[in-house]
Amino acid sequence: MSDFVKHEYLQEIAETIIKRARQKGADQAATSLGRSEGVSINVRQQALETFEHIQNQSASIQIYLNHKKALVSTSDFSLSAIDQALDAAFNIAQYTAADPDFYLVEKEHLAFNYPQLPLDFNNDASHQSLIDTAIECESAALNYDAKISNSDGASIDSSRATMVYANSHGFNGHNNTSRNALSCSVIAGKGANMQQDYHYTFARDPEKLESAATIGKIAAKRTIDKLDARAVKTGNYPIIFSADIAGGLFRSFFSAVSGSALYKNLSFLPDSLDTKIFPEFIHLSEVPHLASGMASTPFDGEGVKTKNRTWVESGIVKSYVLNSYTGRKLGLTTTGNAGGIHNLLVETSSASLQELQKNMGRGLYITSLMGNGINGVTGDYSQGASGFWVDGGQIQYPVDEITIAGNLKQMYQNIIQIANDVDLRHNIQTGSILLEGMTISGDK
Amino acid sequence: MIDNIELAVETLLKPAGIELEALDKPLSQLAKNKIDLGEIFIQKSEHESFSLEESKVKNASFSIEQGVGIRAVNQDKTGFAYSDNINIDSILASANAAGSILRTSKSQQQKIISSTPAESLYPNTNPLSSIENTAKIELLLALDTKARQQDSKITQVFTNLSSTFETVLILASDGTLAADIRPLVRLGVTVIAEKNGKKEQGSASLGGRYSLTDLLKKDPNSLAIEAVRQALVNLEARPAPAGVMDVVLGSGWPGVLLHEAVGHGLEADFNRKQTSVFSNSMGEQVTSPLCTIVDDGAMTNRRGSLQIDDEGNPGTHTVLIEKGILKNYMQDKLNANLMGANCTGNGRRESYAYLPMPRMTNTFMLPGKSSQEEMIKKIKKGIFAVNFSGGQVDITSGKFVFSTSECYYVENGKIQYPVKDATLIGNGPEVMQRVAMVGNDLQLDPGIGVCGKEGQSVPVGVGQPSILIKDMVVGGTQT
Repeated sequence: MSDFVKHEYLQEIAETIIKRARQKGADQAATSLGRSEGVSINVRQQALETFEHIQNQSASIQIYLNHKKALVSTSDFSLSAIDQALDAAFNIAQYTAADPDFYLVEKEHLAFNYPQLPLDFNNDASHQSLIDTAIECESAALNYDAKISNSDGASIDSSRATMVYANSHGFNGHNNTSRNALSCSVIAGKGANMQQDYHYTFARDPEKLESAATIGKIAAKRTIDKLDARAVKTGNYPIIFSADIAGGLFRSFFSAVSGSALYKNLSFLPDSLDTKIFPEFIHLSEVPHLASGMASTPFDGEGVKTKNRTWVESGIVKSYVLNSYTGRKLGLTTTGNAGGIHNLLVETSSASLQELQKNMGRGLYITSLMGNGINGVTGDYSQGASGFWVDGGQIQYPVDEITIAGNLKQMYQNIIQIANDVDLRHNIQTGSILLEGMTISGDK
Repeated sequence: MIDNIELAVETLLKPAGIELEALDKPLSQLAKNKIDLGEIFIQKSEHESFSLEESKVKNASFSIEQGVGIRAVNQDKTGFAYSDNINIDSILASANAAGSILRTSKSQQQKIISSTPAESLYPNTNPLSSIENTAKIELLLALDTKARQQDSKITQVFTNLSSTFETVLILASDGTLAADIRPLVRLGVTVIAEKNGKKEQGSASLGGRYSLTDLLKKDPNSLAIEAVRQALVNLEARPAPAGVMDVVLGSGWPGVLLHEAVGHGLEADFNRKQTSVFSNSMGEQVTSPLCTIVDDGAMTNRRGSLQIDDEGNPGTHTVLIEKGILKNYMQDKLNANLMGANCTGNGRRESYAYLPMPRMTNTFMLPGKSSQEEMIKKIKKGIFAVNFSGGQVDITSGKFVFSTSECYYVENGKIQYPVKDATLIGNGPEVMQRVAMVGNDLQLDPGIGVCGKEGQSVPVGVGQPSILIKDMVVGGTQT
């Protein structure tokens, strides 16, 4: 492992920062440091296009002074830069207003005995072999079918990172991670009738990446499947969100039950604890230490223990998503989710995607969404979309230039079934979701 | 008058003990490889933010980011390395890494030539220290008070003031020696209004490349009034209609239509690679002849403006589409070289840690002859949208979306009632051909635009006069 991402050095710097902050008069202090190193390679039309060497570092420091706080960040770890950053923090803190709930999480919640999760793997592939893999991937896509007319290229990324969090309760923890990704994006058609799509694989362990040929072929197939898309008549139809994008439905849910949205009264699900938001077959749970998880972490952004938790059971909300501050604002305790949720598993039915489409009979299978037309305050939902028209339980033709609209509160109640085609490449892992009652705007 | 190059050298090189001439060495290092362009980009950026909630300014943050990005370009191939350390050894190491991926050839000593300073579009002083911190707090508190005073239905108020000060220095093997010193400020208000168990939000912001003293002169309290007005309108909103209908767009920020429908599609990289729906369309009719659309980086004090872009080329007024005919793409050095075109000052990057590419600056449509009133009168059944949240585009298929945040249902030429947020979707070239009327009321947005492309964010401006478009797909819930 390169010295640059060794965690011991960062933990020393973190220790120094906390000491200096206390020496300068902070009641409490916390710091997060990160370093990452690697390469990002793009190839296009079977030749190298860009080769980027990645090497960066940053530190953020939070100080607490008489229940006032300030946050500073710097990318310079020298003692003089740290002192300058701390001085800036003390300067701006004095102008802010105090909040009795501004103080570090209580010591008893800290993950002093945090687990070492197996999230960091070396990738000893040479730069040339990484380039060759990307070229092989694009080649598989270009050669898949004569309809593939152009390429956006293939990318391969490989990096390792170390993250450290320390605070004045004596916590000083680290987490080493690696990431490897291979993606390919190609184009089919010509002129006014071009379509593009992509596919990708991600893994912490480079051995676990899907093959270059597989990624290329799937990217090409997805692209060709979009050709000659039509619109659909405006009306109300059931829809299936594909597994790749279905997690977005639950992402909006987790934003709405986050402590931050709740105490600020910005949530479309206020006072939803112990209420039935989803049908009774919906179970959502979090598994933060999953070795293969996208968002695994041994402790949260405040050093708090992360643990398995059930968020929704039989459709009922069992807990809000909280950090120490938002917990206090709601009269509750942190759930160890400073920074978000970590590996959300959605329980599925035993039905395959094909069976789900049969169950739907006639409607839309949505594979791509556009825009950010989701109102977190009201739950109003209106998104651009594309996918396929389904009739007689079978895909008939591709569809695009449509919108799907509704309100999330209603959409959650209207979930009919979740297929077992779970997409593992996301923080929220779910299969395709069938729901009814969406308004589609398309042709006249 | 102190020129920006002197100031940049003072800020970026002096603390590291580097003389400007010493940068000849890494440029020569790059030139040892087979390159069309070797570039050193040095940057320091300070950012400060104060936020208010629950009528108190509880959150404050400050950050400093600095580093060097080194690029080696050969035709369409780029080697890139960067460092958070501004010192000569890191720069040489990065030059080595960046150039290593390209084949070696004869070494050429690079000499730095100074370039002519660009037109002055904004002050080169630090906005963070342009007013006292106490004045910043007072401003945020005043907005909170003003907003709550407007109406008792206002239950939450959030305000934020942020300032950025950036210094960049660019040296390249094509003789570029340029610097820019860029202020950027932004003030925003968001409110929640509640009535009978219903809850809605309204927002208003303003900003640009000027000092906080300048911002204070722009009637900031009007933001509180505007945010409240919007929230109250949205409280009365009924479900939006669904289907294909005529749409009148208001002036100013609704110009996000152009940013998505044509802007991204006219960035040169997509057109060089022929992946854009506008590829191979130069000289053709791509929009209604009523439309003349420009990208202008040379506007005074605008958020999207640049005295020089991040490659050292001056911000330029570029006509993209003239009376419907495609005239120019937005170019950076790499793409201009490969396409045999002129640079248009559109080479931008989020920071030294990212590669530059063609990006927009201030993108807007020139005014026409009609009035907004005339346009609304023409609508049998449709919508009148005056505010939007954001948008997105697929430049290959041409499909784009943008979502309303304040919108009205129009029937028989009259505004009937406000409707809830809806996303509009269309195909860029097709929608722009259906622009039936262009207003005489050109406005630019108040200084709030953020554009994302390939993981890089840059500040931009948009604008337009009121526009009538026939037959757009509107994503409401009312069939």
